[in-house]
Amino acid sequence: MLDGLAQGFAVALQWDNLLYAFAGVFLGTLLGVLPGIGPVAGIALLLPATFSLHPASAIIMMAGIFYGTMYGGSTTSILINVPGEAASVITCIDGHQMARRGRAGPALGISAIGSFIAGTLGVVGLMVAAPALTRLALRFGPAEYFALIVFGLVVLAFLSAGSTLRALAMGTFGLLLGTVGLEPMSGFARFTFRRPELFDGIGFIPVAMGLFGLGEILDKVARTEQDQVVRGRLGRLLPSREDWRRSWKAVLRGSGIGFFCGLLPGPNAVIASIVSYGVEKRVSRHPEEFGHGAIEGVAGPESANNAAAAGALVPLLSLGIPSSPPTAVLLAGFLIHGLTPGPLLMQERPDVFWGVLASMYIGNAMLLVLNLPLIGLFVRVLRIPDVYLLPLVVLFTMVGAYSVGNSLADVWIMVVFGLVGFAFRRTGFDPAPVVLALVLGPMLETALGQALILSDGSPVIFLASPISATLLGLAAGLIVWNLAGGARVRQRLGKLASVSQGGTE
Amino acid sequence: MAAARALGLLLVAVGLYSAVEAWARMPLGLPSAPGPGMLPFALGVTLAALAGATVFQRASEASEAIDRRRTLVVGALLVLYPLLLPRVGFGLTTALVLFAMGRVIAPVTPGRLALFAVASAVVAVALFRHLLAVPLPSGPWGL
Repeated sequence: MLDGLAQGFAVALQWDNLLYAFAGVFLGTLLGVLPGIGPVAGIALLLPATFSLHPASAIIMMAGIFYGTMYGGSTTSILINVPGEAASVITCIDGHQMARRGRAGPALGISAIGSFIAGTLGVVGLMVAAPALTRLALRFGPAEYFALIVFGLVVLAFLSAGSTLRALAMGTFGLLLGTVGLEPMSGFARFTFRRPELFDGIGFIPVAMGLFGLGEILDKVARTEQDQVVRGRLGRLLPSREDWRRSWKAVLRGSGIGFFCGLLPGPNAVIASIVSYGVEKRVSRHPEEFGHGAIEGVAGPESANNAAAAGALVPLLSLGIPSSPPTAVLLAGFLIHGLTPGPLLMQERPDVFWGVLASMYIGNAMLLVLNLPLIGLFVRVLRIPDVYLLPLVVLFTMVGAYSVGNSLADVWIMVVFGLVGFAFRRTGFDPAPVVLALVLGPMLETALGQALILSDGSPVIFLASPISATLLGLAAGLIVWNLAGGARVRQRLGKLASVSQGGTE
Repeated sequence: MAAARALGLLLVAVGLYSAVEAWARMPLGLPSAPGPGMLPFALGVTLAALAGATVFQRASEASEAIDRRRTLVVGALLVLYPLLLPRVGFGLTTALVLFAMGRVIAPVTPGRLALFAVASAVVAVALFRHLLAVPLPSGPWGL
């Protein structure tokens, strides 16, 4: 592992990769600050800018955007009480209260420092867990992959905001979209309406940009209430000795909770921050202060969502399976650059695998250095009026969608899914399962087909392997539990998560 | 709730259409050799069933007031953008759509908004078409 890490640092410390890591974390923070543009839209928007880069540099930059958005989201939550991205929704509660009491500076400061500590600890966890899971994944066959994807989609539906039934419908809709195009084994054209543009299937990037980018723009335009930035001085950014005393345990607990939640399929960063908030409130000697500006209510969740970003990379790098919409966009980035994440990535492209990991240590340090002195800049970005900001975001999404394949068809797909995404949001259908299922659909079909061919059509193959039997059993158990009353627990999570409905993914 | 039901019914229609299309036009194959229609058929039936169940479900939907006119106009402008793009070119389309969108979003003086729209379009053309070499449509006037 240490040899790998040394190789990774040799890649990450090359001046051009340092530059791309810096660009990624800076742009990620900026996009995280802007309400509505979360990691999915952010990575998708900037993906075309990486086309000409070396694969390792491109992935380093995209990963930087991903965890950079987690840092930026807290600024918006604290200053305008609107999450910059969904995982910062819980920070609104105490972070904004701190800001209203003239303590915006320490809230932003502990958020940045906690994020740095958690992000770094998360990368340590990723470094340990990913190679271990990779060794296990080498034993996976089609039946295990099929079961893993089914399990992932069921957990995603279970953890989604709102109704599980609707989330399952959304996941099925995404899987169905994934069948559009030429079938890989036979070359049979499915749902293409004789349009050559659809032969390669519906592009995942335009769909993600539509659902999460344009859908959010429309949602923001539709709202009649305007966001107000807290005025006045931020105060000193560095937390006081008393703030530290109250926060350090919350940061460590948030790091652990975040990393483990990050391993789960679904909106893991959102869940991580909500669970962390609940734990902090429970263990606090002053639970009555929560909701009125308790610094632990900022330190814990903000640490958790950054550690979750690292945790979410474990299934992607070791199994090749994205567990959340942002990692699904990252997967698209890998594929565009000719890389296949999964068990063989570490062996075949150690420069990318270890280079990305090493760059995350550097990127987290960059974010800390960036966030404290540049907070004034990010506040000014927040004050850009919607009348200028929203049309500019539309412009970037249009160019971004077009440049994926230099095709107008992708722009149309994005616009259609922008309108559909707006309708989904307004009617309580969570769009996240659509995006993930669209990516996982072709993998699921291939695994299912291979498993059935191997077993001569016998479904027993899915129960013969302990791994696939366990995963399918867990998926079935979750559905039964949900029907039997677990919905209450899930709805409590969903209620909190749904605060962020409106596009922050 | 009416909008959620309508969307649920629309998804039922999508599911049924997919299932029928897969059944009628795609080889379903056998369990030992699944054909290209097998998964779309199964997914179509599943989607119709799940979406059908959501139609009868009570669930929350966004209840806050929305500005319908603004939303409709911005939605229409989003559709207009790819329609105009190949016909009048990227630069002109961008300037026109940005100006119109700004007018709908907030009351800003037309001159200021026009300056913003034109400047954004010029910078975007310089950045994307010339610097990053994205082959954006240029239309009959080369804009």
